[in-house]
Amino acid sequence: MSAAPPGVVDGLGTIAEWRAAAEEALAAERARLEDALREARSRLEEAEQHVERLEQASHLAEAGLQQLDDEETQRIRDAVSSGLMVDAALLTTRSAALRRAVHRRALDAAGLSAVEAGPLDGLDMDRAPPAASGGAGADHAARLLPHLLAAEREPGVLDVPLAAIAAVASVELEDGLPTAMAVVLPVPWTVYAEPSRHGDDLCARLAWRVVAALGVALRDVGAADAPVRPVSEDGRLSFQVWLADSELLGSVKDAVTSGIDQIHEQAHELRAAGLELYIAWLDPEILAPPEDRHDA
Amino acid sequence: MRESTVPAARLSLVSVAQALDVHPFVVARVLGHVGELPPGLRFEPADIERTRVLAGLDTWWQGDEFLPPAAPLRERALIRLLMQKLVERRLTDGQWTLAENLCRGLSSRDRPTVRRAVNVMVQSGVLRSRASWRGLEATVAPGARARVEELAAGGALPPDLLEGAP
Repeated sequence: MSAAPPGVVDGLGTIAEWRAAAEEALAAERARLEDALREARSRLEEAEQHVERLEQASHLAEAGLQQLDDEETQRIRDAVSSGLMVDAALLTTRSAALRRAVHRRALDAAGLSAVEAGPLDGLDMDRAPPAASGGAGADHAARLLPHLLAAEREPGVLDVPLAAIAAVASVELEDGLPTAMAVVLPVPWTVYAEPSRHGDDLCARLAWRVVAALGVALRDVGAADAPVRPVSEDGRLSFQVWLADSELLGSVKDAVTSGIDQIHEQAHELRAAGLELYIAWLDPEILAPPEDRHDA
Repeated sequence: MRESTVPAARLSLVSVAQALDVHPFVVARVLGHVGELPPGLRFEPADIERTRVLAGLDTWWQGDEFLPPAAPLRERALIRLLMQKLVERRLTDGQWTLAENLCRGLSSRDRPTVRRAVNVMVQSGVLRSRASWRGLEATVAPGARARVEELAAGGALPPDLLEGAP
């Protein structure tokens, strides 16, 4: 029987066991923590990528928000342009239809056939019948003219549904005071540039009435001498009024709107053609020429 | 003015404008300003003269002026006559007139000479201009009145008024 190991040896052995057990435990803990660390790093990387994606999306949304105003302005411009185009086409169509209807009614009233009267397109109410030349044509023209004048004033001469057309306008302000006004009509620029091409058709008459209404409105607000310049706005007739040199006594917008309302009452030719004229006031940015636009 | 062999109240605004040799919009604005645009847009022949007066239209050149047949004497005569008309129509006394009246009535041959001289006078400050409901108006600047009267009376015409005249 051997003697028990010395106490020292026994003590060292215990320490060695402790050391081995502790190493094993710590190695296991280290391995667990390294796994956790890898896991955390992986999640962090994913989170960072997610953050980056979110930031990019946020920037896109911000840019979209900033472009929304420009997009809205452009959409309004397109809608206005399209509306003016449609109204101009309607005006032109109804003008021709009204002229034909007036001619038909005048022929009936004069008891003349179209053959007897000859080509009516060449018969202008402004021009004296060719009485000097004599003959049946002159006689028929003389009979027809009073009826043409009467027929153009008769309501219901054209059987068409009532339709609204609009002019668009804006007033530019500086320090709260009007400096300029633009009024765009649903009529082609040629009404101003080539007046003889239009004669006194509906487009021309509408333009004259608006010019006169502007004259009244400007007089009423103390801006009688304000320059009014006709310009082409995408092929349509527009009036630019310079107000910066005038001391306005009232709202030019109200005065012009009132003038347009009076056109309703006075323009029998528009009523005969089944048309009502309105005015739509827009932000000046909508009607600004391209070089003056803030989004240009 | 056109001969009016037409029935009353049947002239269109275009006809009135043609008779007055102005754009239809001039007629519309002038009559709009004074509140006399006929509701039916039909006019009587007498309305032509009334509109002419309201619009301030004045034909300065009647075609009866004596003018030498060829340049450069013709151009000199035109400009001398312009000076005399400025005095006769009292623009040297503060009267204003439509700027286009200064050339109204001139033949297409003579119009460029006078128009150019008017432009030179505006640029040099001899003529002043202002906007009005009738259109652009002109007068002789106070500081240039004596000079214009001198030129009208036969003073030597400055070269810049003649320079480049056709």
